[in-house]
Amino acid sequence: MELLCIRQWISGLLPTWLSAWCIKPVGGALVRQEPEYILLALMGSPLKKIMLCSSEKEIFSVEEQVMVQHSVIINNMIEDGSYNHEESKIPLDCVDSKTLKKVIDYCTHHTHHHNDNQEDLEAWDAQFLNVDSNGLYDLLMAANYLEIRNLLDLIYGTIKNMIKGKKIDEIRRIFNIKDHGFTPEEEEQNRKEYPHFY
Amino acid sequence: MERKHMGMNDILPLELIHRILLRVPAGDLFRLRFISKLWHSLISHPDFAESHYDLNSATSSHSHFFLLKDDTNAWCVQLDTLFDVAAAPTTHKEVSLPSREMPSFSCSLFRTMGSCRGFVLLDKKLDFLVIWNPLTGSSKTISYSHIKVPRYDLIRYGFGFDASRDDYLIVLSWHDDYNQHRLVCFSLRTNSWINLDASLPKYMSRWKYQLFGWFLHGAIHWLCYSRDYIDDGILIFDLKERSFSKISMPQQLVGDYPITFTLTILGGCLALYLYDHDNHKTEIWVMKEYKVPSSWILMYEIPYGNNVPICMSNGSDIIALNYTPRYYWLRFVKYNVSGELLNYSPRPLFESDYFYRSFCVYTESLFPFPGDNKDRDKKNKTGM
Repeated sequence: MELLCIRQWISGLLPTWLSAWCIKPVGGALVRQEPEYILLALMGSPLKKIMLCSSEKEIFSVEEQVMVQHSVIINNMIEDGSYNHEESKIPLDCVDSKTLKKVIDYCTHHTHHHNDNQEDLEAWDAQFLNVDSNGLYDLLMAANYLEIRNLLDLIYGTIKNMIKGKKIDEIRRIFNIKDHGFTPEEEEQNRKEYPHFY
Repeated sequence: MERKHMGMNDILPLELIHRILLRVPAGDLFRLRFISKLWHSLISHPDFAESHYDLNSATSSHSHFFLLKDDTNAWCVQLDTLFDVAAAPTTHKEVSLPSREMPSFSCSLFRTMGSCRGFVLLDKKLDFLVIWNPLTGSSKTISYSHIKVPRYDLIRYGFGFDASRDDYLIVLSWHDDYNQHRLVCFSLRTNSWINLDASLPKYMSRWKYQLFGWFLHGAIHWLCYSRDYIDDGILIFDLKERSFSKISMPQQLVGDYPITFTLTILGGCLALYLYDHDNHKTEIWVMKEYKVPSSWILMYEIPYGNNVPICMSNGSDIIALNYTPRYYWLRFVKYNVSGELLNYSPRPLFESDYFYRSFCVYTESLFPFPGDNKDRDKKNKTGM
């Protein structure tokens, strides 16, 4: 029986108050989870996999639960039934293979290791984000597109730390901002008025 | 353009750069306006200061401690770096108070009268007030020497923001020569004094209340008390409605006259703290739910020395200013809910004298004075 039918059958059997007790993490927040999903998981249904397709037409197979927990976009696609497990793959035209692989890596690690202590997770995150700035931008845009809250917060925090306390010339170097857009007169005026910023 | 020649401004969409800037501390943002024209327009946008403040004011990491040193200088300490030993020498910086053209008639020092949305209110007794944003440097001096007060210690102050009118208000209350209770407020937007005597409730005339009020949820709060204890409580002046109301204090504190406890705001809640001399501990009561008197609870009992709570950190820890009589030291300490000492500042930051100087806690912001943006837009339209 197709998953949707099983769901409907089970939900018809369960009392409505039960849904108040069922919550799950989605995209870093906690949302109500239909109890039929919890039951299926408890019954030990095989780990469903979904197919993600990068902009370079490469297909990645990943556990459904992993992506559903982290990405609000993918969770919504699966919830409203627009994704058919047997046939379709989710096309992600904005994300290239290299970045998609990293994103899947992040979500998988955080799902399987969510019980680890804080320090280990933070160390893993730091290692994970040890990429060049271009890689960081790609990850940020992918996390934004897929709406992965905790990865977004992590990257925002990292970039914030790269900016904090640094002077203007250094920040321009780090983020490769070559054309600042000020006229030479404006730039000179700014440097004269606030020399300690530069 | 090849990828490796592109920078952040070329690769990331505007929305993401905007979101990154919203998370950068206000102190850095002031400088970041000069990174590029794009960043300048994002940061200077009229709505940016508001979004940034809303996102960050809840977190204690943006709280700064402001201590007056003398008539011309003050210290600003970023509270979340206080206990970071590695950053110790640079945690506090000295700032110059805005210069004033107005002559000073009294030789008393400045006092702080609270803060609101990144602005600090300074008072030169019975002479003039200064609203100052230490981060952006913008300041406004307001003379009030025309207000005749029979005794200097009878005037009370309040500073807050009226969101409905986008205006900052300074509220002054006193008893005049005929022992009539008076109330006025200065509106920053209209640059004028407004008489609010009509808003004073009849029952207020015999009350004393604390020197300055605290701004929270669109209203200014003062602790008020009287000899017969009947109407002790916290007085609330709503800046939008321009009307008064009152909420009661914890029952256990009623009857304590003269008052030994002080009103403050911790973690976005009204709080009362007092120093129990007999048991050498500081009690802190917090009103967990705003305007619900039954939600007052004794949340903290901090031992050893006179502790003045300054702000909440990590949701439940308290950062306090501690004066230890044994060592004559003035330091910052951090306690958790159980009264355990978590941390203390590496070395005494200021001389002990400064314990009695005026201080306040503020959150850095980029807010301009109301009406300033309009002037700027007008200038742009006329091509100035």
